[in-house]
Amino acid sequence: MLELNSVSKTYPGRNRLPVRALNQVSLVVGTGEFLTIVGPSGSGKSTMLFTAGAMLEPSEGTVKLGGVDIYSISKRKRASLRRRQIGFIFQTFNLIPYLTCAENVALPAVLDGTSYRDSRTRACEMLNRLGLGNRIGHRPNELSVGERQRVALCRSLVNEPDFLLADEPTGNLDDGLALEVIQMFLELNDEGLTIIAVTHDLRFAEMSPRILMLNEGEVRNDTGKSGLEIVR
Amino acid sequence: MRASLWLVWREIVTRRHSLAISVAALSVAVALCSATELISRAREVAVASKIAFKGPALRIIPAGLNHIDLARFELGTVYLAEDSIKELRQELLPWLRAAEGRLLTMAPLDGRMAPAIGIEPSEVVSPFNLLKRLKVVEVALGSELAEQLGKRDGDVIQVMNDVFRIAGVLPSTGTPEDLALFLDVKILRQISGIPGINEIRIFTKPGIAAFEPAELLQARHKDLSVIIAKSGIGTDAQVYSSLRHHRWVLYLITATLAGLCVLLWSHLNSSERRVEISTIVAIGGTSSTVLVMLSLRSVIVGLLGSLVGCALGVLIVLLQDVESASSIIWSIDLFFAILASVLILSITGALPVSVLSAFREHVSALQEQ
Repeated sequence: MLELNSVSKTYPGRNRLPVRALNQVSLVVGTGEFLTIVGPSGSGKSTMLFTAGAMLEPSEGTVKLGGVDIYSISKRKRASLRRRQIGFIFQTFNLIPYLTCAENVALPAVLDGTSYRDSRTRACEMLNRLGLGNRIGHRPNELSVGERQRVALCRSLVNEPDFLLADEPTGNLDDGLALEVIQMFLELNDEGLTIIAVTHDLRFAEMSPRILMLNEGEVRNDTGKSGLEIVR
Repeated sequence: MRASLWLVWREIVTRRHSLAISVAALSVAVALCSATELISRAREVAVASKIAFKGPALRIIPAGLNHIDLARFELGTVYLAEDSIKELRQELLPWLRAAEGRLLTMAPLDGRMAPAIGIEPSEVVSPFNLLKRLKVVEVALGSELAEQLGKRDGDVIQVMNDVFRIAGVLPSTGTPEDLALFLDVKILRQISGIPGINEIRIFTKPGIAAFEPAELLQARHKDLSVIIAKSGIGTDAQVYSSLRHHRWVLYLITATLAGLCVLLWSHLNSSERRVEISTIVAIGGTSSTVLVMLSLRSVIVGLLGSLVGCALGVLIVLLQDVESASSIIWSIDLFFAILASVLILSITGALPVSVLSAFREHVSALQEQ
């Protein structure tokens, strides 16, 4: 379970005027939930995602993952938590350009201390499952956009995390590919994976069981598990 | 560590061209320094052997005697203990190339008195190998003395009551020693009754001015007179010293430029890889993973740059100055010094950028896309 308790995040802005990206946000995401975060640009969506993902320490409040305050533990333990419990997907996929598909997917496992051979085997299995068996030795610049997104998805899942955090996963995809990705997310959620996705894509949001609307760093609407109507 | 190594390996294998440019830049600097040093060393040795022909930088004789007494072989019966040469060797160690003890006296020779020089053949410093091979039953004659006596190689000569074979006649040196007889110092001690030595010849390392060791000796040993060979050696030392300083300035400038290059390419490399580094951290890498990754890359560039640079330096020497090629095989210390210097330079040059990249806040790079 992921808990955000009164989380605020303030960035040092220009001319020494601080920018409050999150303001007293509280949220509980249970195991197996699929939550999408929507809101206009600058509403604090990505800040919230990275704060929840043990990447960005809040200025106030606590973030607990499985009951552990993730910003009270050491940086090394937090990195270990990111490797084992959290999978990240980025809008521009962020694949490492000099690694092949298999190596990109194997990277989180290698970082976690798994041998290269075992990591690669696991990576190849993942790629085969997502229909990329023929792309194992290819580099990211040799792949189509959709293939890159699938490789990024494989990478985020290779260490079998409890949470998948996605920042605009359909932002760079055309309609067909976006629907494909949404379908994959739903399937993963059905398998029990907890998903938190930031999106501008309302089709994506509408297909997720729970939607959180952020504006100016505050939660304006949370459909919750009760299935409240989204306010457009 | 293993993950960092793996990432560095994959990066340099894939981005070979980028690596090659960095290595090429560094190797040019290394080649410049190594070739300059190799040629300079070879030239120093060549000039040093010419200076050695002129004689020692310092001559040490018992106090109260002077260079005129020395030139006339009129040093009397005052002498220095045989062990005093060992003591002086220790004291002059930083400047010393060689030291030789001799006994100079007048000896009865075929019914007349002639200058005689007692030498220890195993310690002799001379361009003439004849003296180094001299046996106890043999003598060598100065060119002028041989002419006066009408003697040549293989003849015999009577010194006091003993007869010796003439091992050879030395070429003319234009010094009073052309009039002298050379024989084993132990024999001359028996003949003269002087139990020690009365001249210590000090040969300094190439480029060392004799004044500093001379001052030290004069300050410490009131029982000694120190004669400095002023002609030529002082000027040679100044030239050596000036060239050496210039070389060090050149190396310092080259190292500074190379350091700036390392800093620049590290900066470009980490700026270009900002998103990649932040992604590695986001998927579970630590700051030390990034720090080791960037530092290792720099070490590899340094290592390859110094190896290629040294090879280039040797090639430049061979193409430009074949006579200096012999110095290459004696310059292992130089290659290790270059390797160590370049590695230190690569690590320190890249460290500020690596530390900044590893410990900065990574989310902004991921959000700015």
